[in-house]
Amino acid sequence: MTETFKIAQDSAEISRGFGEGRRLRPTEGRYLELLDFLWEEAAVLDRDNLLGWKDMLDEAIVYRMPVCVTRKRRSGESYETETMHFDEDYLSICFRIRRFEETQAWAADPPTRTRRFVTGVRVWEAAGAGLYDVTSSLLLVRSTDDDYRTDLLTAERFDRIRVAGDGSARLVERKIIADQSTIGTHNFAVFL
Amino acid sequence: MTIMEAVGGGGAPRLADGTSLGDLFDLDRREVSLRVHHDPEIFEMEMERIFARSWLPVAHESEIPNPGDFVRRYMGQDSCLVVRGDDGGISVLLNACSHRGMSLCREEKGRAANFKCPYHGWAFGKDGRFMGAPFEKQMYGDQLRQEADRLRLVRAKTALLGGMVFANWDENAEDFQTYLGDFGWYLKAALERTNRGLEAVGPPQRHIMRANWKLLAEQLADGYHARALHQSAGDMGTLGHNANDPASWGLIGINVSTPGGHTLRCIDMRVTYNFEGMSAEASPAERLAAVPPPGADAAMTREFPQNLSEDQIRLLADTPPLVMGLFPGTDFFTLMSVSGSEDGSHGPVMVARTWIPRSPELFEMLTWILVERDASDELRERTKKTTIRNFGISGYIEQDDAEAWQGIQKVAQGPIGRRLTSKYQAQIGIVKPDDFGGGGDVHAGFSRDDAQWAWWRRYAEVMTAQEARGA
Repeated sequence: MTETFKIAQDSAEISRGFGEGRRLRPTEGRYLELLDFLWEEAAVLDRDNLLGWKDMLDEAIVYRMPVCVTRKRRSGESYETETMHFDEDYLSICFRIRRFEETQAWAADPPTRTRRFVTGVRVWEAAGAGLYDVTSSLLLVRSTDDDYRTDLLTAERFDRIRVAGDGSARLVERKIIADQSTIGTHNFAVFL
Repeated sequence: MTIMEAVGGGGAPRLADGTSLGDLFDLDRREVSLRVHHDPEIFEMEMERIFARSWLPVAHESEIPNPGDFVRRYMGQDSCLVVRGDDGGISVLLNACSHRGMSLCREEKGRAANFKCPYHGWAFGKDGRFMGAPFEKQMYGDQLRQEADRLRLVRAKTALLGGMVFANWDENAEDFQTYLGDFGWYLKAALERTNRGLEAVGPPQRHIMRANWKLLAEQLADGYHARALHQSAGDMGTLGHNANDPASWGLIGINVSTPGGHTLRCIDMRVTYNFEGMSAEASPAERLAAVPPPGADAAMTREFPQNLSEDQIRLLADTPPLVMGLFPGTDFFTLMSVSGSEDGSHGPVMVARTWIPRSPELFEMLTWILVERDASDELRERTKKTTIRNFGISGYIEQDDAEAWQGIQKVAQGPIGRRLTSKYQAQIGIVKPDDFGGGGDVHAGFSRDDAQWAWWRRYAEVMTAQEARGA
């Protein structure tokens, strides 16, 4: 356990140089495989198959969602801040999943219904064997209980994905940048 | 007919249907009608009577370290700017141009030499003073110069606690220390214990909750809900070692309330979280060094005597403040908790929260993460991560709290449902251990409803007070 935890810490290094490698065309086989990986991931999460999702994660995963604030166009300052909505590694994601799967977690029981629309996928080669940088637009529609209102959340995701020799892919890093500074849903008992 | 018109000759204000506001509180039985969570008239009264006149947190001063740094926040429904001045002082200003009322500032955070209105270009200094207007001579001659004082931005009174900036629009409001009363002693022990003090990791998380703001505010002193609502935390092995032991659920300790509606829950470390198996015979300083309070390390505990009294240090060692609620709707939460990781480690939760009422059925929640300025990188990271995983929008503990707040709100939406009352009959009364150094109304023992009811008593007092028109 301790060793895995250490890997997660070190992997923060890999976010350097994101999107600087060769851009893959949408006609390339590897692009299509990665597109399919994101569609598969969305379906697995929409079906509340959290254990299935866990299998799509690299044990070195860094999963973050910064708090963002409205800035002026030419302020030169980032929309992102140091505060996080999510700041996760593999073992903390496992903790969250076990809570939903095995305990009386009222926030997720009955489960919230979600539909993830993933589009605008772009892929670059990244430094390192089998590593790719992938950005995508996410539309998450969330329905809770019998409420006619749905929560909508849109975000850009910056993913680093590792494709192994056998063609299987794992998510190594994800940064989620929401389009809202005040998040319009009551909790993140869902993954993005 | 408006509420103020209905007040008439005396007594509590009446709502449009003739109900006296006082009838919504049964002070003898200690019950409150759920109607208080639904009624738009009550909501508007709260904005005037409570949020326009209370001390409210707007920022942590570390968010705006340099002259000209500002953040935009809300006090109740009013947008405000929190600005660091050239002299290092902090001004809290209504974010509204004195000319036509346009929102002056359109970003949430930035640095400015002054604030210029996008509409006609009137400009204001970092302290809110009127500086000038375009074509001022042609438009106004010297009229604006002469009226400059009248044209300054509306300015709130300010005060600091643990580096958090509190503000109050009411220039006649009691000063901040009087507002804290006996509570200041506890808050300073928890938040002003080290030489360099706390800083915020960054701006607060912000998210919405489809519930009335009071459902969170009144819950702060409620220890009782932990066993059922946070059952999952027990199932995960995070809260306690024994699901049937009240101490494991943080239910044994000392609750404190004040007539001003502040509420505090202290849990008894000696029976609840004996992480290191420390002997109760060890001195408070020894125990604090072995198990430092949330967010501190052993070296910092050696600074405590420079900042705290012996009684305050004993408070931190024996019965540390867990959740510190300030009337109307603010809290500081300090807790040693499970890190929210399968590595089984513990970590500190250090959070300041406040809630902005948006409508009777919706509030916005702000969550700041606090760390000691002198924290090592490791402690800082652990504090950030543990806090996020326990509290705030993704926190596994707070996720479940949201279910209760929203669940009660659904009931209050129905005409039959809102005839129900919330009930606070479990009272222990004033029970103060002989050697306990803190003031206020002390309720030691099993955590019951005393402090929660004190919040409601204060709320009822503010809402039913007879007041002069236009006050």
